[in-house]
Amino acid sequence: MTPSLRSPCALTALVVLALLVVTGCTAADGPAERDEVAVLCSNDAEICRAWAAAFTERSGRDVTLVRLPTSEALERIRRGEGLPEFDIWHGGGAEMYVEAAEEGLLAPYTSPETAAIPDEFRDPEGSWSGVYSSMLAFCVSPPGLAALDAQTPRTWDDLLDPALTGQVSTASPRTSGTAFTAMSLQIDRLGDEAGRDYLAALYGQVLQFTRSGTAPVQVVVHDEAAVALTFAPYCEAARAEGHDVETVVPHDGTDYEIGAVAVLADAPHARGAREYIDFALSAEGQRSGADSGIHQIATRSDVPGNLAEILADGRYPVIGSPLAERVERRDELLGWFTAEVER
Amino acid sequence: MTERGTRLMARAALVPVGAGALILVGWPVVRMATQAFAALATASTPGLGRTAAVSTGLSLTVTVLATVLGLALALTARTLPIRPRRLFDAVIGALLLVPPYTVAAAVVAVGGRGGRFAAVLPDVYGLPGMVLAMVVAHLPIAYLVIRVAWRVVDPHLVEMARVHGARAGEVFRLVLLPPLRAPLGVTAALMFVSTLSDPSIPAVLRGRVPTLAHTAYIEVIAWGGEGTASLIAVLLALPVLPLLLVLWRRPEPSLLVTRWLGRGASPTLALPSSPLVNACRALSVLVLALVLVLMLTAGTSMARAQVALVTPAMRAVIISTLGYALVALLIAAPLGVLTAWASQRAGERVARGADFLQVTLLLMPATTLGIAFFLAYGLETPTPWGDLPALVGGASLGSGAVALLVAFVAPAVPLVHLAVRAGQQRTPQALQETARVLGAGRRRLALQLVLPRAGALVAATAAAVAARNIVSVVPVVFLSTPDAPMVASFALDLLDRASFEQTFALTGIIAVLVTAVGAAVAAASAAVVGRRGSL
Repeated sequence: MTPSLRSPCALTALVVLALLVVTGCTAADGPAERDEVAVLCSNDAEICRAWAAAFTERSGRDVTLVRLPTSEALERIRRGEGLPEFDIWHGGGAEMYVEAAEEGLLAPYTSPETAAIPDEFRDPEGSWSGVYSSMLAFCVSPPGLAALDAQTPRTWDDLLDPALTGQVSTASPRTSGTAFTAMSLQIDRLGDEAGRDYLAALYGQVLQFTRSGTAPVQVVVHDEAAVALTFAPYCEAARAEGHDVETVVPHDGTDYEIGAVAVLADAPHARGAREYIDFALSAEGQRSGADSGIHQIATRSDVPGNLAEILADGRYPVIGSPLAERVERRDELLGWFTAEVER
Repeated sequence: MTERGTRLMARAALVPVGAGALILVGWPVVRMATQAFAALATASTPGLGRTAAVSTGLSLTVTVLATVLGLALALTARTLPIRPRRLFDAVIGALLLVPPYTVAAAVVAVGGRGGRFAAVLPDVYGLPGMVLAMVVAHLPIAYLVIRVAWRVVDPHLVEMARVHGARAGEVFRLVLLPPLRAPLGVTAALMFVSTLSDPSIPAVLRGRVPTLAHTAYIEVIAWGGEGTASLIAVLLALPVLPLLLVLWRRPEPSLLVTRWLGRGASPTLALPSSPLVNACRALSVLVLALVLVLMLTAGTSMARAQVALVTPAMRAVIISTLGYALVALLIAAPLGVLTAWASQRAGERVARGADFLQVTLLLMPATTLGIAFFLAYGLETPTPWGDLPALVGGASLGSGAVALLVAFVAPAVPLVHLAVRAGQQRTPQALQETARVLGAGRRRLALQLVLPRAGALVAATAAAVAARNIVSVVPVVFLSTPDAPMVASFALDLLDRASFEQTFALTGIIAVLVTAVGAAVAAASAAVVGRRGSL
């Protein structure tokens, strides 16, 4: 009998075959290769690629790269316990790494390179280390401000200028570590109640919340807003590309992020993971992100212009609270944001 | 094989498909509903009532406006000679190839802060911009449904009514409106659900106005707001329930699958000049002017762009999406044909049940489906045989390929099923019986009777499925990471950064590819059907 397309058996076989082809094609993407390192990256896509390329060049190991926002990455690691998918978590604010370390999701590893990282920028147990930093700033468009007849904002209070209503762009602190840093800073600056009052007023000036912390600079570049709250390197990168924007560090206080790296507990490729950490902490590793055009501050004390140097010379009025305190207030502040601002 | 044997075989064939649907769709939906009720019980969703009220008002406004404008455009088109009417159809129909987020981006490019006409237009962020973008994005649906429904209107009837002294308004009310009631009712309901569940236009234009679908989107991508996301998913599905009830009580497939009337243009309707006709013409000119302004602004934005419009990442995204769409079509087409074949032979009650389930799957908001699947398979699932690995997101099995394929296949199977069923029903039962009595076997019946009648419809549906998979926003964006190789996710990431020019370029490339792929799929299907039909 000739098989016919009308036959359910033939059709079912066709479907099964198609499924096999599909899963067969895609399953090879998994992190099972011997000389691979699987990296969960929580930073700008270009920076993630620059890190991966530099590591591959140095070690010869391939990098399987998956980029996830920091909060999603932590949730994935948290719920993936017992079925490890990744070796490394690279990028994203250290607040999340503190949470992960407390929950035993990170594998302590003290790299020989760790000695060059000041104590305050790494976990004392070796669970995570800070590998880059950025300073919170305003990214302003001088032509945009001129059109609004508004002065360049130099302080946080300047952002409440009525002329800037609907002209401020920031990400949602629920999806962006950058936006949470700005949010937490106001509590450090003004205290809990006055800080929330200020935040309510500031968010009233916002056009709409972006998803990504790096997006507000682009919103300003495209003239949809006049001021962005962002980390300074993203504004500097836009300026280097020829856009008419200016970085302004607020006079009345700013804060910085510490981007971290860590080996994940039960990493499938432990040796490769340790090699990756050695690379990420090295001077070469900390400089490699700059290949993307975004120049972040190194945490190593032997790299010129490093974070400790910048903090010591007092050029920025940094007033942020310790990491542990920020971690503690995160859920409550985000709950307030959801209930009072977002809806 | 005896009739009883065929019936048993057909029913047996439906079992694995039903089981698959139960695991991949049924269980996630039940789990999501459970989570929604739990969230409701804990009252942990502040502000959601206001968001629901705003979204409902927005969707109602858009549905009414799109329906009225669709009517005006369709009436104007039907009174035009055939050539300009075809041009009209092409311009409005082409909007189907433009994803809603691109329409929103064009609205910003026209009237946003940095827009070409910012100085003379009010702020487009918030409700005004969302209404405008949603109406333009949904207009072709209303227009095309009305155009197709009016194909049954006999111009002689209009002529007769006019001879008897009926004015244009009366002709419209007594002759043109009656055939629209059922299709327009269903279409309005679908447009309401579609606007309610679209997160992409609010992602670009919401300003500070929260909508249900966008809130659910944020809850999903921020991870942690599972209760709220599931509650919203259930709320989005509620408007579909009355429609399903109507369909269950009146199981006529023609309500959803408009009767296929073959090729050939309908004759022009000659309506006397009247305020109604003139108003429709004026509205049509306004709509066409608006579409033209949006398109020209998108074009000039691209021409003035200071960045590379097409990047290597964009090329990878396009190739990947095309691959997924075609593989999904290869899976969905045989499954749809199988369920339609089995439904026809498994007895009337089984057929009615199968049709109803397919229609339910088709009508279920894709946002609801995406959230249900995300919640059920976002992380590994414990089963009696061990843990099923996570299927959603870049870090999951096959880099999320399984979830994306399910997202594409789930709405495509019902489309194929309903198209084949409509094709089956186009073959008169008496003709089939006669052929059978004269000795024609099942194979011959199918190849020489059913396929030649249903072939064009099946080919058109296959092309539509391929196109839909490439252009659709939901449920894909709920099942992929921001930089996943999918067009919709990539575009929303671009728009988050206000990269309008690259979004327009992406849409242009996709529109050309969709047209080419759709034409190729339709031609291939027609060729296969034609060859078989001539055997």
